[in-house]
Amino acid sequence: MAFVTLSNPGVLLILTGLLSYAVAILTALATSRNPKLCGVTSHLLTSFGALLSLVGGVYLLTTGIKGTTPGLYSLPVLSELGANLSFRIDPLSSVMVIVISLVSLYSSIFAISYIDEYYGKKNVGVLASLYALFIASMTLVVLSNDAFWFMVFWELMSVSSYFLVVFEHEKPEVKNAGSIYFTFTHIGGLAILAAFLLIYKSTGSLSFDTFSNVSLPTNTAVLVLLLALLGFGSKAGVVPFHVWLPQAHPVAPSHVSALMSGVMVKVAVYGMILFTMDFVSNSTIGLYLGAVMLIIAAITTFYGVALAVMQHNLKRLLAYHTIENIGIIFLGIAVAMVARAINNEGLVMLAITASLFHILNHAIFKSLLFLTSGAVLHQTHTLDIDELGGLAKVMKSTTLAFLLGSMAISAIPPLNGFASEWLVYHSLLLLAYKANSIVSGVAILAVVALSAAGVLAVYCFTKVFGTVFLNAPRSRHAEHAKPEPVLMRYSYVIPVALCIALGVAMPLAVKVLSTAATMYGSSDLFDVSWISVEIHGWRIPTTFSAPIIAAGLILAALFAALVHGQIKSTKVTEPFVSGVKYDSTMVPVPTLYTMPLKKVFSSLYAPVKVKRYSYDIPDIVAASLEYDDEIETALDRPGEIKSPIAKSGELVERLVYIPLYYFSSRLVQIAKYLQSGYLYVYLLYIFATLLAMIFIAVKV
Amino acid sequence: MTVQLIDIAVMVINSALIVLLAPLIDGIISTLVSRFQSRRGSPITQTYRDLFKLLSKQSETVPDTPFHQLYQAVPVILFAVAVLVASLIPTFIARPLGVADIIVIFYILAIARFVASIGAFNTANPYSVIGAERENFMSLMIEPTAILSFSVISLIAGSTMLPHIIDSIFPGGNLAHPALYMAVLAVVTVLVVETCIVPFDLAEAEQEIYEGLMAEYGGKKFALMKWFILTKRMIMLSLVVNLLIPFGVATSLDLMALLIGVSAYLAKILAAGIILALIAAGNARLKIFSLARTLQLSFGLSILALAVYVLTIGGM
Repeated sequence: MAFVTLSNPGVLLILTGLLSYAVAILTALATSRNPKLCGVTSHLLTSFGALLSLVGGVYLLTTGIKGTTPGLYSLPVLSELGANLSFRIDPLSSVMVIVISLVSLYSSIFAISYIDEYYGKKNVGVLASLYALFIASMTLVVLSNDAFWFMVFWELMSVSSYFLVVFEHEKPEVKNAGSIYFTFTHIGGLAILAAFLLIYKSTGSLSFDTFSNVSLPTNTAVLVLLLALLGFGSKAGVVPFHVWLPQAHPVAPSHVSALMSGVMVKVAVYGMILFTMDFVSNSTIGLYLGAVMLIIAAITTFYGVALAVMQHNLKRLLAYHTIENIGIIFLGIAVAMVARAINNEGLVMLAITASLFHILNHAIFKSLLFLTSGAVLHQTHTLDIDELGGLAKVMKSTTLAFLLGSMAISAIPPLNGFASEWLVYHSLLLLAYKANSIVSGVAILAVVALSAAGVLAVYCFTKVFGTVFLNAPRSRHAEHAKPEPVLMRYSYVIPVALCIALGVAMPLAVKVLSTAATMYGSSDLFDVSWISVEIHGWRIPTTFSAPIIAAGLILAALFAALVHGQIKSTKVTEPFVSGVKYDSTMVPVPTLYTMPLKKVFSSLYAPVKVKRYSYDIPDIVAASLEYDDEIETALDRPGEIKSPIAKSGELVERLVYIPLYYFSSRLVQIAKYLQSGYLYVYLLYIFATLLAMIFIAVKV
Repeated sequence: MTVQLIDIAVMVINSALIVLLAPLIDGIISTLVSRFQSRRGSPITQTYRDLFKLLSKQSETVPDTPFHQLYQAVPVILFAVAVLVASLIPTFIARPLGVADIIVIFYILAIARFVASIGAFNTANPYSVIGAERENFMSLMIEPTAILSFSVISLIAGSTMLPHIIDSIFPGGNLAHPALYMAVLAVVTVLVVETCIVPFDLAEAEQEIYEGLMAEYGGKKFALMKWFILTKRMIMLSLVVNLLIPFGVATSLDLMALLIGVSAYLAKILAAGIILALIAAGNARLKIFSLARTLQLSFGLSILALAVYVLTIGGM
């Protein structure tokens, strides 16, 4: 790889941004006695740093620079192994820097007014400094150019995010969530470390430059990819390693949730792209592992959204949607793996572009949704959607921002969520068209999962928006809500504008992002012009023109308004309920709305309680009239689960983790016999071990 | 890609044809249903008169809920979606429009579902919300089947653009594939469900869950919502007839071909309307879970189509 000088404007801007984060950390710690000053200055500094990094990232991406910077710092032993602190600058890491910095930019602004909750109760300085450290470490992970520093920053990211998750540690559910997160992040970290060491065995160097060119033996390659899937998959929330995510993301302060759900999971996706596209390019295993990934990703997509629909906690619901979207992103990566195996470089690029575009889009709308939910929490002190309602009356900007975010995440055209999902659809369809094998069937089933996820997302977000923001308040909390602080409103502006802009100007966005994907494929399937994206590879190319669709929608709406015409008089009345007097108990309830799903997917939700109603009616009408009402699942009352480890009541927990827990606790019971507590027994163990090792050494 | 003026003209004509013919087909269906049931029924232009009368209403009532601007915008957006989608699907001419493929079309229809459900919540009327529940639940049964079947059709036709799909399942075209027929059959069954006729949805009753989503709307807004449903029915019918019987669809701008195209299209739609009337006259409205059971058959059929497709391509 070529050298990029440190005086390159993009690199310089990112470095200054990192410096600004460092200053933010120090300022936060220094001024923690004055929470207000601390919150404002340190978050402004963080935001400023994010702005610099963002500009730097955009500059690097548009100029398409590829290479590494000269080493900034090296430890004597490590530098021989190729581990210098130098930055890997390429279009892919530039995209990641853009994603991280963009979300940090407006989340920090939001944080300034969000953290006033903690004034006088908690140490705001610690929160603000951990927050800046978290952002800085994520940026450094995607810029690392060797396994050593990658792991250092990765663990720094994990640890800082852990402390942010347990920031409100006086609540028992927060502590629980924190320990689950801590366990998973460590198992994941170990898996990644093992994967790196396996590659190191073949290269003899820790530098990523050598990793790219190595060809691993097939068995090692399979093992490396599986370890990477475990490590990065558990961070990203791939089923079945996702159980920590819906626990940990929601309990963090909301601006941190936005970063964790919007950005941190993407850093794991970045790692996965590095491993599957760059380090392990063994094409024979790509076909099978790619197909396996395709299945896992499809399951993740459907599972995430199917559980999201049933949630009662707004932020946990959003966390389950993160799992869904990670599934969608992984679908793209899986397609790229298979496409590389069948030597279709054009499809590799299409699929990677789809993934990158969805990474960016999901970061934007998910952070927007988390910030708006944070505003709801800040103003009402509850996240239970059954208790909220009627917030549209007071929190107008939050309502509109949440509506737009919900539409984007539900893949409603012409917003950005649809734009990238369309690319994922076409990656899958084109893979099915080109693969000509059993993989085609798998790819089409993934298409089915994706479309079902789309429908369920609409189902879910119409429910959430309808119950949280519309109608009448359902509790005192919601009744006493006040308008959100002005600063929060301003923080919505960027993500809202980008949700629309990236959707409408999709061809332009695809054009820029596909420069990053050309690292791993060729652009022969793509024909991107200003107004449309054309995908070749089909017998007849497919085109989609988001700007024309958007314009058509506006024109059609104008026409519809014309047909509608003017209204002379408007009268406000109560809703009409078939001639009965309307009263407030008739307000629609969210559980009713999702009832049919509980029936159809009963194996997924495992209803624990079904209330059955039967009515006496004349025989002449029907034999009997019975119906199930109020089906309750374990998901409905996570707080009441008695099991020592079950927290959410979801399927994977029941199928995998609870049996695992009982299995391992039985193992521990057996191990108990070894622990006598007498010193001489332990000395005996040591001696026996020594003897065994000598024996082995002599034998070898 | 270049968008020519003629393409835009075709889009506008398509849209106008579908939107304006939709009430006529509704009138024909309801007259036929009456005749089948030995009633005299209303004249076939009745739906136009209804719409015209509703649109001439000058006052409206809005429910007393926060953010009722949303409630007021819903019918306009729904009708706009119908007008837009109508411009994107082939009717009498299969001309590549190069703007949207089948996936985009399904997702544009999702705008309508999203907005209508939110509108239903916004009215605070429990009936509306139950209507929205039914709508969303049905889409969960319908949309994956439709997308799966269209995927199989696209793989065989080698394109996801509707005009090309219809072009290539032309008899004498390049295709004769068992999976194709199964997929077309599966997609046709779900699209018929989407036409919202009686066994599947919507009756003329006013005050019940039936009309669900629209329960709270009146006057101009009700007219737009009703027209949206009629247009959507017409869109689904156009898709059905052009997939099942792709005869006569014009592929060039030749005058003769266009004439044949238009008359064939009208004849096909009329035939489809008669069949729908027969279905509607002979059935009562299905309960939602029996509907789900019926739709499972379609899903099974489309899975079978995929299996047949994968088996026939062979190889590993």
